[in-house]
Amino acid sequence: MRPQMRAGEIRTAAASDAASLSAGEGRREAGRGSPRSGLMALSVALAFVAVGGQSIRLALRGQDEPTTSMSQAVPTSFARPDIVDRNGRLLASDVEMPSLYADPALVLDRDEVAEKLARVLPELDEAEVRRLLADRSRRFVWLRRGLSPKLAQAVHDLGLPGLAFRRELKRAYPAGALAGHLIGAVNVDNRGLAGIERHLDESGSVEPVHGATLSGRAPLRTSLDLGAQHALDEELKAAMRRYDAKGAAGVVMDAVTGEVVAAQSLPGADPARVADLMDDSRQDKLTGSVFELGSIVKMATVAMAIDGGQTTADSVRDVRQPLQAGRFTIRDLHPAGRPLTVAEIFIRSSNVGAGMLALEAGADRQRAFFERLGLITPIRTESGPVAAPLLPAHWNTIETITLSYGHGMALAPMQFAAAAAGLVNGGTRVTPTLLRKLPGEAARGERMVSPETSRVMRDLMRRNVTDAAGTGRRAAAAGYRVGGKTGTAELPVKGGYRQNAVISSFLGAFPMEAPRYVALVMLFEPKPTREAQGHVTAGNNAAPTAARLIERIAPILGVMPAGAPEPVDDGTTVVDPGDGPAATFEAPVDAGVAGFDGVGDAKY
Amino acid sequence: MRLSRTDRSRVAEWWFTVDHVLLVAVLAIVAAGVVLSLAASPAVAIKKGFSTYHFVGRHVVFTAMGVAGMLAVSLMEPRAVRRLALAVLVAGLVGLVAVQLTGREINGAKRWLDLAGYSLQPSEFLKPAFVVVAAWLFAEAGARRDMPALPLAAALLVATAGLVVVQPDVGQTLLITAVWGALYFLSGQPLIGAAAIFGLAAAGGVAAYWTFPHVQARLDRFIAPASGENGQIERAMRSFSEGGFLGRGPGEGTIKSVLPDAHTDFIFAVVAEEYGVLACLVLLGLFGFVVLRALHLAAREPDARTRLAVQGLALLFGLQALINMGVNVGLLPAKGMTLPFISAGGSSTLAVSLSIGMLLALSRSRPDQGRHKKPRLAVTIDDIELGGRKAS
Repeated sequence: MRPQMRAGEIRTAAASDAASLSAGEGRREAGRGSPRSGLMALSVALAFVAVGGQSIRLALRGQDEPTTSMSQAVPTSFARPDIVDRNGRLLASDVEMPSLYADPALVLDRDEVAEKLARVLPELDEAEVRRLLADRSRRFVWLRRGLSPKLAQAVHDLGLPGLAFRRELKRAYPAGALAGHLIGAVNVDNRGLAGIERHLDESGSVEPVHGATLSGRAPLRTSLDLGAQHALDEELKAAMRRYDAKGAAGVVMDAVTGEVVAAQSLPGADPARVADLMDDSRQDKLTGSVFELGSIVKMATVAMAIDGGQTTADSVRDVRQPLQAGRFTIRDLHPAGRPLTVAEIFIRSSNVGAGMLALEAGADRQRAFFERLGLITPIRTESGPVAAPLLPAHWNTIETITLSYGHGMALAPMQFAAAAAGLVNGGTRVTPTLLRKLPGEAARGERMVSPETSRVMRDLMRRNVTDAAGTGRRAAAAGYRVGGKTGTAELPVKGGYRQNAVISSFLGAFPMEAPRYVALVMLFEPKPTREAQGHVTAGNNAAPTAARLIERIAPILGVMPAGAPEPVDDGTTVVDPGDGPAATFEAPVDAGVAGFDGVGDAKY
Repeated sequence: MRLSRTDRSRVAEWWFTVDHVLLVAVLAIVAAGVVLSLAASPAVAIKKGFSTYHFVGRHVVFTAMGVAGMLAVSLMEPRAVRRLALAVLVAGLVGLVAVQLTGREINGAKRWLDLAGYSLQPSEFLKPAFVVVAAWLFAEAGARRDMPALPLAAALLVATAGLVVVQPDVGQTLLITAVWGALYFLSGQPLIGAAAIFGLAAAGGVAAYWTFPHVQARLDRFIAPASGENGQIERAMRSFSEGGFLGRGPGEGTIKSVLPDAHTDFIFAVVAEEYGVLACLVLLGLFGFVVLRALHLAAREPDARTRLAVQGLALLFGLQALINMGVNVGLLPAKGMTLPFISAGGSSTLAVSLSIGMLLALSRSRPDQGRHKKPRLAVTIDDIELGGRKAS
């Protein structure tokens, strides 16, 4: 019975359905389930499919080009290779340092953060911190880049929410202000701004990195010798004190390869302080400024006279009468009262004599010779362009005369030192460089003057120091056969020159029979102190400073004093930790003494 | 709670007649909206200087109010829904006039009406009411030739669109005009008229282009991105690429802190970046499903007034979602259009709830609807019984 009952119920329901259906059918209207409704539904569906398709397309695009992502972290720093001196001693290096930033949105109490931070980091400007933290929509503000780990710990210990650290690379300069002008500086992102640091950027050695990843590249080996650099710095500072000078500069350059082994301009610039490089009073005097160099330029004048055989060192000029050129009269400071040989003109530094030699050559030849020496065309080194020479507007008789003794034309000292090196090294051009040249790379430059002219110049420069009447006699450094030329240039002011405000210079070379190094020492506005025998002339201050300098650096640079056993081969005497002796340390201990003796035999 | 078929109470009747599938789909979107508001709005709240969960809290409160309202409205009979729509329409039109007279200007547009400390966007509430009333008029135009229903429908469009476009809100104007045109088309009116309406709408679009500088600028940027920076859309599109299919993970997105409207107009892009395009497709599928399900339900509806209203509401809901998402993926020029139930915004959420409440109410099965399919009379129950006996 049950199936029947159930069937009955269902049937009743079905019947009522049918009834309602027929009722509905009667009120059916046009449009229900019509093609138009279908079309509309289809269009909507297609629109949804289009949006979905576009989403998928965009997602796929992202997978194809993962590099187009804009949320990719921008490089936070730049990794730089180390800068080392010629013996591998560190001049500049990247160190990892914590940098402090804040997320203003997470800072609870702005005043508390500013006050507590100012207590730990006194150089932080409290008002500035408040201002930075005020904008809560910014999620990242730097507060202090490059903290020491100790200070970072102190800040961390404040326990202030919203402050955090990011590890960054910061450039450190263990040598401080030594050669600071040449090394240059980097900005807060570790990109080079000036000097060799900028050279690193421009030569593509600097790579962007995330976080604090040290550079994997080999260090940049400069031509500098940290020992010589240190000696130069000390001697220049001592000279500034001794002669009460406003500034000093010095450069020691390999006479053949042009490698700058030491260069310092005082007041110096610390690469770690970018502001130093912007400071006018700390401007680099060697490559960043030009000066009238005074009588050291007579080297060029005498070399011009001798080169090409127009005259000889022994020919005589009558220098008793002052030179007249228009309304100017050129006279000597200490007239000799007798005719002088060309050599004496050089040694006694006679302006009249130099002027006569220049007039004999004429303006055109003088200009061409200066050009040949590389004094006209601007040069550059790895630390950037050297200040361009300031040439006379007209090159007439009076200019020809004044140029012969170093006035009327301003030069960067570095540029003149390179020309002087060429004059003494046998006569080949020298291009100053700050990078170490390996023995194989150091090719001689093109010929500048004849070897004979160079020999005569070496002789004259040596006599200038050895001769009792020589202006450079105080430059004699015991045993190192120094030769050179002094120069005392009056500092120009508008419309003339200042009395007793001079730049005194000594350009020397050693050992003079076959110079390996050229050294230029300059003192700016020295006073006539007791140590200078009451004079401001270069022979009384720059020359003795050069002597002290050379006595200190010659041993460092491997130049043997006279009387010491002369080395068989120059190269092996240079102390290089990577050379010979290392082999003996590898020998067995019991054979050590014998092995060491063996090396000694080979050397001498 | 157990409801019996014999229970004739209003709730019980509702429960047995409302479309469960549609209801579940809508509630899924609502739930997604609550979850996703946690993704985008804290960042915007911080940026605007509110407390972190300012917009989340508001969204939850408005959503709760909206769902309650939606369910309440869905209890109504079609006749009551139409009356409600008429009342809201009148109130809305009055509101729009009031906006023009008193409203504050925000971002160069007057859209907001201050009511007892709350700001209200009358145009949002107007939309569903407009659709239901327009559907009513179109249905009457088909059924009763003696009523000037078509001119009335046209007047309704002109009045509503006119008040919305002067705000100016070109996007909403476009939306209600499109739905109105679709209703015209669906109501079985001659196609020549549909073509004419399309032409008029196009002319209106061109006029908007030349009248409103911002419309012109946005369109120019969309057509030729090089001529100006198309920043917001570019950024939104990039978040799809960056999120990929699986997303960067909740809270890992960046776009929300960049775009000012990340919690409203560009929430879809935030979802893409943090939860991935797959999540976007699910969301898109939910919206599409709701629209198509509603259109499907409407197709069985014999009463033209109800059928057109359901179709219109479904299209309103669907088009709004489509425009929002279309902008996000770079298929449409920038438009200030919220994503229903997902975007933050009180007026939008409440109005969409009203809209869906009406949709649910009108799509309920009714005895006169013929909802149950005809029994397959070819094999009746009797036949089965008899068959057992007859063994055939």
